[in-house]
Amino acid sequence: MARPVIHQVLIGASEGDAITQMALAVRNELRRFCDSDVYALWRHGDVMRDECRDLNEYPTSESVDLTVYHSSIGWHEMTDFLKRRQEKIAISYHNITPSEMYVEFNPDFAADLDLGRQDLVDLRERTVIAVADSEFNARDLETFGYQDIHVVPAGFIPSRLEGEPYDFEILQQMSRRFPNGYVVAVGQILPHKRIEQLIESLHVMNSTYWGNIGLVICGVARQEMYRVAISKFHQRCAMVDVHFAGQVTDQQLSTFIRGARMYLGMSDHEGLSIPPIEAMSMGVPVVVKGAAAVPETVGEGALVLPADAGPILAAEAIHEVLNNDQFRWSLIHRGFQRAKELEARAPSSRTAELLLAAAQ
Amino acid sequence: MTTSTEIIAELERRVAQRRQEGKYPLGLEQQLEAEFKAIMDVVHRGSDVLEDVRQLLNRCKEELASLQNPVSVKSRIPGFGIVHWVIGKFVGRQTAAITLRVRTTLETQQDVLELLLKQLEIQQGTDVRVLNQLSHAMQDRLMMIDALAQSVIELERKVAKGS
Repeated sequence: MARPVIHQVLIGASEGDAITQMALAVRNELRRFCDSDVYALWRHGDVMRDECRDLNEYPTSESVDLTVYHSSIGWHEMTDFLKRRQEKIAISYHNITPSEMYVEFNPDFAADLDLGRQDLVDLRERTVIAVADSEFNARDLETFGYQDIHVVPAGFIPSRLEGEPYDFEILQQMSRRFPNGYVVAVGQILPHKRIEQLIESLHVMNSTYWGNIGLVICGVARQEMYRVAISKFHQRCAMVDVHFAGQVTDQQLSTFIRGARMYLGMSDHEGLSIPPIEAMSMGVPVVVKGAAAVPETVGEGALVLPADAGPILAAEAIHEVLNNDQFRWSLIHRGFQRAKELEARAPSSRTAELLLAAAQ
Repeated sequence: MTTSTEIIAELERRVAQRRQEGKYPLGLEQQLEAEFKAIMDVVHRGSDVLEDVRQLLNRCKEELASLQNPVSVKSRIPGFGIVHWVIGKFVGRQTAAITLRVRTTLETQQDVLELLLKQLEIQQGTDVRVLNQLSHAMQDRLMMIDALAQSVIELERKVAKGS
């Protein structure tokens, strides 16, 4: 009896990208029961060219039982691709950032976000199953008319980075540059991630308490204008030294996180928020702004600031975590427990079960 | 004090206390946000200011070129040519002096604009408020020079027509 064929499609695949990692984890689980690959319009780097196939090589509809579309933004070529498909479609929804956050400074990107939302509307009638990363994302997907949405953070593996060996060169460099230690943040350099608030928070903290704590930001800059603005703003905030690590390998990311004194997140919008959980999994205390799906994801495992928190409250929180030993150890313990709790839910196998049933 | 809620409440209390003590100046967060927004404005609209300066520079060059009309001394009225020739020379000496001064000023203005353009192209991160002030100051001065140059040009044309 022929095995089912279930493939996943992405707009872009890159190492370190959360959605890419989740798709690959689901693929690995699916391959236990069916033929499965991940296809992408763009595959960044040799690793992705090995792990993922070119979308132009996607098989015909007759030879595919189910196509899983990972939705997080729109792109015309992907829209055209999906419109041509005749097989069953599944949606894995990772949240589309509201376009209002970008319309002023990047209208083209805002248009891509709106296109992604239109794609969801257009695909609704052909979608046989919808999976959302979080309750927050499920509520968002419902606004497009989707029903019976399964809430499973597909392919999410909190302990993903735990087995990575240390990069000692990075540890030495960071130790020399930041003798008092550093705070780490992980995420793409995008406006809704509020990178400027990360810098402001450390600037205010160091100014008030003379902490001389550094900041390391791991993540690729997707929008040049915002990156330039952040770079110039950093020069204005004299009380914080910031290392922009850019795109990093899993080993480097793991090292940066484990070498940090704490993790900080000030994003205004997240559909799931994976990096704080990965930090918790490795025993790093986490402080995050409680926007969108963040509180749902981190639970009691992090210090969750109000959704409208600014750099002053964040600065006080950083100081508290770094100087209140009892609280810091309590936070580390709770974070570790939360990561293990999420891991135990085995989202990859649960997602694979749902997709296999839908493909029948 | 172990729960997040208790910690947050304590931190908010500290923030309020430090604000009262003056350690967190009033409007600090708004100021930081405004600083970043100003930088975002410059980065995204810097090319518009550069274009403004380029256009000012081009106008400056055009005004300079239009100051070179020769004064005609021919007259339509027979016999009056000498009179117009004399008047034209007299007026020409006066306008030439004015024109020279205007030309010198415009040339200086052109040099300044070219330097400014080069500086802006090198340093696109200049604060938008400084850029706007410079741009406005240049525009004000050019408008004055423009008005003066236009008067001289009209005078030259009248003298040329009259002869």
